Amino acid sequence: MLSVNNLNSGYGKLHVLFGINLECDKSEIVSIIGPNGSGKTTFLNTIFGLADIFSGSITFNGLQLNDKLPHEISKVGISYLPQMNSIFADLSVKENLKMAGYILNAKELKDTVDEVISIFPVLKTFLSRKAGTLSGGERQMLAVAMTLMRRPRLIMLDEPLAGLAPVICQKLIEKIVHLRDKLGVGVILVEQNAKKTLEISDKACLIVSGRSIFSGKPDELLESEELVELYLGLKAKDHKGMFK
Amino acid sequence: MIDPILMDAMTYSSLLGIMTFGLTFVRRTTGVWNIAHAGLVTIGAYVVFTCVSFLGGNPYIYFLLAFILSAVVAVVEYLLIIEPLRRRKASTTMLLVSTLAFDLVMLSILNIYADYLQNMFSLPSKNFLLRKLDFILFDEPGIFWVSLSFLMIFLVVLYVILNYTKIGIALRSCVCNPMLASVSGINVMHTNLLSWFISGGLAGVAGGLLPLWMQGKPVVGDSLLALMFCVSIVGGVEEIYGTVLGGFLVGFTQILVTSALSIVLGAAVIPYKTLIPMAILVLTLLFAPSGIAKVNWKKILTIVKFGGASKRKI
Amino acid sequence: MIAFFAIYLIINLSLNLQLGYAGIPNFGLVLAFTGGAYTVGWLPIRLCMWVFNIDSELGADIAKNNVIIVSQINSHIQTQPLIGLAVFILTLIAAVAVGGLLGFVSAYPAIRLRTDYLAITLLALGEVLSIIGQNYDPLVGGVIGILAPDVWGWSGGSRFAVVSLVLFLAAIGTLLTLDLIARSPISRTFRAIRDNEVAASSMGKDVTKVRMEALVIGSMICSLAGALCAFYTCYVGPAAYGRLEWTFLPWLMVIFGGLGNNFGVALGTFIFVALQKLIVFYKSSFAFLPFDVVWLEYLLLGSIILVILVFRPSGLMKEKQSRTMPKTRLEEIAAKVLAKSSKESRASNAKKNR
Repeated sequence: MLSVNNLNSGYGKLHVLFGINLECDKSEIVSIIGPNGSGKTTFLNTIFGLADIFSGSITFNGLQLNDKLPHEISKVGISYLPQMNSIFADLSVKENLKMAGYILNAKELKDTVDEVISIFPVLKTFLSRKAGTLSGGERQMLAVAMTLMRRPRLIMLDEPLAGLAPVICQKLIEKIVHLRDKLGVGVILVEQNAKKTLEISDKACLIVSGRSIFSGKPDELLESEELVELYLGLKAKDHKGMFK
Repeated sequence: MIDPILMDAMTYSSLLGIMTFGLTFVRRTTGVWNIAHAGLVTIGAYVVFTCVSFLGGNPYIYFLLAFILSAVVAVVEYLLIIEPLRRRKASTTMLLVSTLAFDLVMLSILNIYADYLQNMFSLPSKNFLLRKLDFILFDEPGIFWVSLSFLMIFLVVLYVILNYTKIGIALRSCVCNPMLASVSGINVMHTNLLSWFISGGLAGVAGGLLPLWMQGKPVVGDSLLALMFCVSIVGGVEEIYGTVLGGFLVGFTQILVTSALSIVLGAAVIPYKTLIPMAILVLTLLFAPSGIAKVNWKKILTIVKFGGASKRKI
Repeated sequence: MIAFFAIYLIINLSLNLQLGYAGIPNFGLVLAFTGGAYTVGWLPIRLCMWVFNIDSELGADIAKNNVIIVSQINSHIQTQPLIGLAVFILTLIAAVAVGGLLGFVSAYPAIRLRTDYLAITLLALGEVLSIIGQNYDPLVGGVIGILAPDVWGWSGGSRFAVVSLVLFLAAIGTLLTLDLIARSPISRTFRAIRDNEVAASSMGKDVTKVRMEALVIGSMICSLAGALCAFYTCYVGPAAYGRLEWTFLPWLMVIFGGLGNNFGVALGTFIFVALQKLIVFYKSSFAFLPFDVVWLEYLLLGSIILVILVFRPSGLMKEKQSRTMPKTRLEEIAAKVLAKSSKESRASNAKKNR
């Protein structure tokens, strides 16, 4: 579905990513992990046309995305949940959902809003509330709901669990797994919480200083004591066999 | 026949509101205070003056042209200056300065144009008044009816657009979170262009109305700029109807207070009437900085009614 | 040209302090400038009338009898230069105080608000003094304006050179003083607040108080420029102090020269003033044009600024990093601190071993 080949990108003169390769298929969760400042967010931004591509290619179902603008990429079937400012704080919850489904016609919009509310029933209780007044967990629920509005085939989530209580984190993780298993959506998940992310992922990619130093199955990553202790802060012996 | 002072106040307030609509609209939807709005207003005045001088006829028939020309200039301003600066993530101050520089360019061009008309065609382009071309309806000048009507029409149209249409919500979302708007499928640049087009057009119409009420000159817009900012801040930027409230508060206060004071203190107070909006601005900033449209009137009424504490029935 | 370069340099340096260092967009410079000029229109004439014992009947309507009063004062000053100098200095002190007060009063309503609201408020309130000056005759003669005593009359034929020199020295003095301020802790506080209010506040800086300080100091300097301008022209007329010349043009010059760099601002001011003078000098060459050439000048200036903003927003000279103490001094302090901490750790080790 999504294929990234030898990607070099950054912002203006700042070169952030060096030769990144990644594949994500439908019904697959690919997690991207790594220390702060390694380029994880830049990777997602690049796919969505928010960073400059110096070389390499990004294709989605055979369609080249390199020269497309963000609003054009949103129409090909990819949704993006940014790390910060993931909702329209000044608009109501209903208006947020409407904006997320901007490219849909009136009937499609109505049907999709109903579908999304059925996945996140808690949103129904505050449709007319200003999104900026929601709690952190509610905002993230809304943000994830917004990514589903265009019925995407691929969702990119940048640290969706940041700053959330463990109970809410667990609920969100269940929703993400539900998207993969029940809706067949491909998910690229960038997270600091490596343990939780790797538990649900089909593939993992470890990015350090803009370079991919590991790409493969999560349990293979956890086999390498050096990588796990150096970059994930985990004790390898505590996590070996996690996926057996 | 309406009382002349009331008519004066209503016309003036309506004109203030119409002039400020565009300024508030572009601030609301793109986050930019556009100092060059003054120049766009003046362009409207000169479009109507030029057409009336060369083609004759009623000034009102040229309002559409004034709308279009001012809108086009506003779009040029956005494409050449605002958009490149926004892409470079310029601060609000730098955006403000860029609009100031653009206003200076427009002011120069307008003055050059006015000089040209005066020298080549002997037209009174540096100081003109089109009142005598206005129509009379029910013993009142046309500008009274037209300004009030335009004010209400613009208010309803802009309010409906911003709150009930997809494009209006998109306009609001672009200023709230442009990055998220763009990943949601909104072409932020096109949306901003639409904002500036509408704002410029409104300025053009406001400018077209001005010479029917007051002296038209190359600095007519700039001379009212401070007043427009007062109205915008006093009314509040968050709600579009704040501009109408601000316009009426400032306009009515200015005219009625000046009128009352001149009875008590003599005609010498009349030149100071421009200080009244400044005083209202200061009071608003001290007590209601979000503008009067955002004041919680229910809470104030409760305080006034119950003296600060609500009485509970046991 | 030297005189106007000096006056504009002082205004621009005051704006650089407020905007470049403290991040406060003061669109109301004209208010403080006018305040300084009005002080020169009001105070010296009254001071000199008192000192030289000029006919009090004339003083009953200073605006109406302005020409006679000023000519009498000027003839006295020609023979008593020290009094002229004293009046000059006292008036400057008063002008600076007036400027500071105007800065405080105009900024107070909006100082806590977002910078763009503050900018717009200052722009709107900048016109207040002009409106009062034009309509309240006893202040500075209303629309017609008022003559100010020529405190340099004693210099005779070299008046122009003397005044230009004084203005130039005042400008250089301002530049050097502000450059010293730029190296001081207060400048670092300004910049900290400019760059991140929340972080500065968490370090214990009272953001509102510091912003007000920057505004008041800036207004005082701007007022000084207004007073010097009025002393140079010996005339104060409300119509002469417009927003275009005394707020908008300084903004453009400062952006052109480089925000946050005093020497950049000086360079930018010089180039702008020189360009202005060149255009005026060659005005006759453009006589064939069916419009006033001054508008070509503003068109050019506005266009240059737009080009600068889009292609080189940092201006001619970029802001330099904050200068702290000299390296040798820093090394001395570091050595002392290290010596103290090693002494303390030896003492605690000795205690443990016992």
